[in-house]
Amino acid sequence: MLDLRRELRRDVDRTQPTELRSAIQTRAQDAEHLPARAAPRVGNRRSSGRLAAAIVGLGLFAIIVAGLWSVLRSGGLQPVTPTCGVWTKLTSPGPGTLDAVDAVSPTDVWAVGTSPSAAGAHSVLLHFDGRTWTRVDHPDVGELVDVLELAPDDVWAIGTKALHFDGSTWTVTPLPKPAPPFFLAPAAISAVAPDDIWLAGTTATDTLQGTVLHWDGMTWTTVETPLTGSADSSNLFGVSAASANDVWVAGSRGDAELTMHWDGTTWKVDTHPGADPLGLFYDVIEVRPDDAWAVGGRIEHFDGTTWSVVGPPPEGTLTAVTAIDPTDVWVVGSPGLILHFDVDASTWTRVSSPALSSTFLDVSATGGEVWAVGSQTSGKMLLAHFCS
Amino acid sequence: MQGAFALCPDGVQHPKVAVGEGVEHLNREHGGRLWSSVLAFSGDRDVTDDAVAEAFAQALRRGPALRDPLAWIWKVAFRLAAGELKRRRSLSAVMSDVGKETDVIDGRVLAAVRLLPERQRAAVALHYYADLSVQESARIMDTRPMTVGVHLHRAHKRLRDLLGDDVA
Repeated sequence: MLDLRRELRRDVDRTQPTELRSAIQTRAQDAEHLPARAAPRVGNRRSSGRLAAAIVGLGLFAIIVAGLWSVLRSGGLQPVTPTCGVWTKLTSPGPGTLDAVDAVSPTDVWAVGTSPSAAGAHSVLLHFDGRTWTRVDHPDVGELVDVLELAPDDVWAIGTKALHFDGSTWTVTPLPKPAPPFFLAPAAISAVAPDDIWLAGTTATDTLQGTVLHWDGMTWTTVETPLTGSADSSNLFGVSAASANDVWVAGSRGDAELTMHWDGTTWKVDTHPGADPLGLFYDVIEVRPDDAWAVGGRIEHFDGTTWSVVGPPPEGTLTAVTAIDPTDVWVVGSPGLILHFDVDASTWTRVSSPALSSTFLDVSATGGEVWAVGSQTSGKMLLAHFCS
Repeated sequence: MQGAFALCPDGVQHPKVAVGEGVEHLNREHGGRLWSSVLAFSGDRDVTDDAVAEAFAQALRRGPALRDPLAWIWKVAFRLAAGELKRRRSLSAVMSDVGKETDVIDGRVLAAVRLLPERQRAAVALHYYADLSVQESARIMDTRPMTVGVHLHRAHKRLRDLLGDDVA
């Protein structure tokens, strides 16, 4: 009687696995830590340490001030102005990761993500009503990567399937995807109107291919782009839809940053400055047709004609950008990075962060309030807030 | 036996900038087992080297976008290996001396496994070589546990015919 397990193992284990470490590094090129750069003040772990120490000092000051305010308020003394102007970290909703946040108003904020359990991953859907964050019942799809409210009775949450809320129930809408073992990994959605919504993600078959899907009010369909059928490996991580004739997507193609723009008729693939440190963008946002931002290994700005790099490279990776108007733009990233655009200096300023070693994955702003979400090194969801 | 999806022992999420360390850790801890499992599936060293290296490299590129990098790497490695095998087969169908497998591994049972259809081969490699449960195998193959069971049953039957032995 043949013992299949033993015999198969014997045949296979006669062969020593190839040592692939350098092959992996070669293929991934610049993915290890920060890139080697000419300027010694960035991309250098020692200088990160010094900067981090300075930021910790500021962070502690922020926590002390915030604590002082709540003591005064609860003590019944004349309340002082709330300490807006500093970021504070909220108590974590629990283990897991928050991938996205959508702040509609100070009393209407959504956050989505995933939390682990012994049986597998569960999708997380949270809502803030101005007072408390609560978990919202919904069909479990394992993980939700983006959320968007068009109206209180028109909310989308995206994971391996698309969930839609009509004011009373959540329903599941399938997304076009390849047959197993291949899969679609959605990343982000952006809406022009309830029947004009764009989704960016990556389809994994024999290669990875950046994918754009569109909702027309009835179904999700695949949109043909310059990436369709291309031999290059590509990913899409961000989308910003300003109008039916004005849509940006961002990600990577081969080893390089990628943005593409839809003008209602054709897709235009942009060129970006060379020497990009990471080789991808995680997010893009259009403020106006001649004012857009893309972030990833660095921050780039589009002025209506070309993309150019803005500011010194960040001490980490940037994962999301949001803009209230041209002079009020926020960017977040890892580790614990929060940046704000200073209109007077035309530069990006690093803001003191309440979560220095954590990863921020998304940021959203409304009416003087800004929310940022992500994951902490403890494995817990990260939720942080700012008011101006 | 420990399942395929155990996190790094410290159980932390690795931010993008430390993703190199996280993936390096996965390679050290799990890379050998993954490599041998893909070899059990493909029977070809070159195909295995390419698929596993590319899967880890893609994980490095995706960074914090990956919630469960280890599971993702297993999935992608098997998928890339399957794709490469298909590509080589279609090449060798067209040209007689191009696309021949380059580094095929010997072994009576492994040779028989290589004659199985792709899905059955994957199920055998994951369940018998890597010792993954039917549920875990289904996750990597992006199918249902019942389907994996069917593949294993059919693989058993075919291997019994090929090896001329009662197969346990």
